[in-house]
Amino acid sequence: MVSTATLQLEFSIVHDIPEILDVESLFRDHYGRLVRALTVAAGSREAAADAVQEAFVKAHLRWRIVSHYDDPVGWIRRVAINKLRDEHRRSGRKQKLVERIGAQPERSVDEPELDEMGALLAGLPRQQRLAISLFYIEQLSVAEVADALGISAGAVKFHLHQGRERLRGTLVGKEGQS
Amino acid sequence: MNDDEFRDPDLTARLGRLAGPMPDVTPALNRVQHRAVQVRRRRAAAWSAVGISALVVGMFAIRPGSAPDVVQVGGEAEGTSISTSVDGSTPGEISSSSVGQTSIPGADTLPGDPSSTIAGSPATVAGAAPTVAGGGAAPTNAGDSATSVAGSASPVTTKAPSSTTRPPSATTRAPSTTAPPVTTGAPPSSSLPTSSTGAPIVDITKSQNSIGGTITVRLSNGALSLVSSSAAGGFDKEIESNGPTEIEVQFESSTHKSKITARISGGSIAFEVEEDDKSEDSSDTTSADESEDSVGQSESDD
Repeated sequence: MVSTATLQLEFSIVHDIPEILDVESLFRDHYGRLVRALTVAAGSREAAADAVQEAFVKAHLRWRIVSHYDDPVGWIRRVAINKLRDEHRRSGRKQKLVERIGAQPERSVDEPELDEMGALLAGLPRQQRLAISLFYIEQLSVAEVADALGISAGAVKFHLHQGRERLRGTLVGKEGQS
Repeated sequence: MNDDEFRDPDLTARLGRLAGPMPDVTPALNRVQHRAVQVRRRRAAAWSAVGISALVVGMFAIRPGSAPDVVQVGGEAEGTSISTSVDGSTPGEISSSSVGQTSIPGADTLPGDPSSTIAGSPATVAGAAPTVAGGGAAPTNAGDSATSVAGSASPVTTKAPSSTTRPPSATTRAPSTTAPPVTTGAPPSSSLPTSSTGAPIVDITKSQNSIGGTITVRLSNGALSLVSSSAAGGFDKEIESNGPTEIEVQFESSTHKSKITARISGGSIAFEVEEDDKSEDSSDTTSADESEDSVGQSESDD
């Protein structure tokens, strides 16, 4: 088992010190928020963490370029979202294959059962889930969400409006029933 | 742009609970750093492999083509002849007589000719070759002038040119600094640090005429081959030897016999023509060294 100190030393040999500090500070500032937001969007903390870490690895490898971007965090966020989308497509194909052969889909042991809110979110379109999670969890502005998703601000507003209405409507309805 | 219209503390709180607590950053950061190091190492290894492959391919590509096939021994315009003792038992010395150009094979043992001994770089040849008596049998390393050039002073494989006899084809003929220019027999050829068979690095095709006919010989990859031979009217052709170290074609009529012998000499083709008039019962052998880069006729030192 390689110790953290060894890894840090190894890393400092490969990278120059300012690079470490910049990427590291970026990671410490934004990793948690990104993972939480994408957890809501993906419905899986593992998948969200993997996607965000993968995005930071990419940022590490091309930091000399990424550091000159106006918004390096925005770039990392987009990479993570794209990773999630790829993963979603892969899992969709896998799900279709499982359905075709008639087997029961496997559920990971540590994967928690979706609570009521999670089940509601899962019923929303993916783009809507992403817009809601970025806006409400990562506390991004509409413009930032639009930039992250590569859509217009108007489309973001539409998704936020639609998503919030559906979530609140369902929640209020269920609260009224109970 | 007013984002406040979409702000909803209640929904934010509910979604926040769904998102869970803030993840532990340190182990994740270590994982990311470790993966970045791994990826960089893999890339570096891949680039190293590519670089080494390119280097190897480049070396193989450059080796036969870029080596100078004609060098000026000694670096002088007139050149410096390299001579050996006639009996081959002692190394000769470098004299200042005219040599012309000497063909030097590129760098290595030629394929298909295990006895070939390859000289090193021209600089090595010019600077460190006290003798040109090349070892006839054992392959030596390229660039090892002590071995490939002066390593063997064996009298078995080194032979001085004779005025009446031909030197063995597989051995190196050494020019003599004292022998007069030969009029018969093989001309003394350069046995500069080339292969023992004078292996060249380029293809050479040459023709030789005689009374009885004409032959065309090609030297390729250190091997001689007969391209064509044609007998004159009234002559019959007989191929006595067909390479790779010697080509011998005999043309014979009722009154005359011509024999053309081609050998490798100094990286080029050396011809020897024997004309024999049967009626006079005399033999006249002339040599024709077509090689431009032969050491040529020996001259004494000044």
